[in-house]
Amino acid sequence: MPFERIDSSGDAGLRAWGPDVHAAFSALGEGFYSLLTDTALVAPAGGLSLTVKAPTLESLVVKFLNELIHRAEEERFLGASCDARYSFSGGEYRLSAVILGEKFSSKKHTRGLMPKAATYHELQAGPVPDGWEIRVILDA
Amino acid sequence: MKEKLRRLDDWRLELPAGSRPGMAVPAVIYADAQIEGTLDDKVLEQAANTACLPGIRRAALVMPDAHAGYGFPIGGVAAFGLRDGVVSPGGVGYDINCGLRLLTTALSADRVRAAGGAVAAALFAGVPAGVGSESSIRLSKADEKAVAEKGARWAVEHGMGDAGDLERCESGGRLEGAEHGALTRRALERGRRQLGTLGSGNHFVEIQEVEEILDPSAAAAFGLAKGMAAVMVHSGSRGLGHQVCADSIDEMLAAARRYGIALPDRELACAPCSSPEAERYLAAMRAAANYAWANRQALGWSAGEAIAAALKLSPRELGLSLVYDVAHNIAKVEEHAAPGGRAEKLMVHRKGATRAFPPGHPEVPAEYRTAGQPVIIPGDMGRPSFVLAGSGAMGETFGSVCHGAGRLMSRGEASRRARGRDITRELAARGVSVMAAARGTLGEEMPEAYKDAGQVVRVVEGAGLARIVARLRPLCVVKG
Repeated sequence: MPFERIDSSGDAGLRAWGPDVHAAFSALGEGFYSLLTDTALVAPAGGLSLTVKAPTLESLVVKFLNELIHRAEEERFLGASCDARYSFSGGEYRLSAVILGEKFSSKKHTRGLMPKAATYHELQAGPVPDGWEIRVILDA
Repeated sequence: MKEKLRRLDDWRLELPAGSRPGMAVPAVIYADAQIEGTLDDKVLEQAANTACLPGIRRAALVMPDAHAGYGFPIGGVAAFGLRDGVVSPGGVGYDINCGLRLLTTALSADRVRAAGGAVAAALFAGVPAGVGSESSIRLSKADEKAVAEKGARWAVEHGMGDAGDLERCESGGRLEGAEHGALTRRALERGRRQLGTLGSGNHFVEIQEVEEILDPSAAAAFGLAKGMAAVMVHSGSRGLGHQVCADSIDEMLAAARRYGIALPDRELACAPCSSPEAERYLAAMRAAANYAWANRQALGWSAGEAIAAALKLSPRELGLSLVYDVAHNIAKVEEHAAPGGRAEKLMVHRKGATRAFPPGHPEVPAEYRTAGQPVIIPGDMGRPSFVLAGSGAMGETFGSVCHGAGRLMSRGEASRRARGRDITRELAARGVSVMAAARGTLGEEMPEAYKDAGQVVRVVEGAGLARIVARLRPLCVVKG
């Protein structure tokens, strides 16, 4: 999935993109896990399903990432791949995602940076000429 | 914005009110010519934005370690009137009551050096740090409620330190007005298994050598002597505090709209101090601050246990003694002088800034009241940290100074510059044993990624905000 880290002072920024909104959110999920660990070492042994809803597109991005942070802390879950589906109806933004991965093991996985939370700082999400793009800064 | 800066003296710059529309007060930036050269325009924009918020007093203040944050700059201080001002979670930050704790030991630095990397390895094993780390402390729901209400006292009551430690914490290691009930289910979940963990990024536990005493009288009061080994801890409120901030941003964005507050930046989301939204946030923020004090109390204790085990010492032989514990991400109600000589209660936000109350202030512990409040300023992994004593900051910066060296490079830039280098070996050549949970941390946190803390504290001292008491150099560093 296409994503890259972007520079942001002392924190961690992600730019994720794809041919459509679903792909961009999927890339964002995978980019998130790349901050935490070397995802090449994470086996898709188990699954995690989640749904987040928000009143704005920006808050959907923030809530999605905050949900991943929560699951990573509480369940020690690391993702190898992310398949996200986006929808908007009745004034509500909604994202459902299925993430394949496994629990953290100090014997198997490398340790990266655990972000504290996603922020609204310079957050951008929307269509670009060749698809869709999300840029977000996470407090680290 | 840089072209609008006006130099006031060798240590201060001013961004006059009016530099952007809506500024109610100027921004004052503490910087000598060298630090001025590193100033990011984003910091100035963020200071100018902060100066637009309702009820701000005196000035939006920017410390010499400042770098761009979101909404408020990191290294920023802003105080607001309780009747006409606001509370902003962005002015506190995600890591509520991130702060520092300094403990002295009865050991000489030579003793630690002689043990080589064994002490660093023991600290690394004994202090849970980084992604996937687990605390040995499991809080029940009742425990978590007690932590939120009692702060550092909870850890002391559970055998991690003694009652005398509480006197040596800012605010006694506990803020009044904390409400466990104001924490969301998610915040409570995140807090249950993280007490006693360091976190990742720039959080650390270090053993340092007191290398030079610059103010003998204050150093004696703080129990610092040249050549002694000391322990410094940098951590905060962990996931519980991060969640409190995350939970509050959306509510504060809605509140700002409801109260007609124009926000130049969404991360400046805020509500009037007297509003129910502000009360809810403050009750939760204070609970998170108390959790952070309990966390640093636990971390200091487990660091001591690890050092004692590595050197086969009894607790008495180790002689761990708390110097002080300070917050640098917090909002507190404090009384400060207002024009006309009267006192006014203000909501003082310190985001990457440290309280530095002067000699004689009633909130400075009695044993330090002649010297002034101890202020702990960490350096980087290779260069010195400093202990300061608060002096003349009250009338100017609401009794506040810097909080560290301050980043000079982004994590990405530091990683790129560290590529191909062996940072562990470079630090070893400087006499520092370093261990990090994450492989990338050492590059992201390498010394050149930060300003020289020595230069930062010289500005603080030059401006008359605090006195430099002692310089400490790192011996063993454990990072998340």
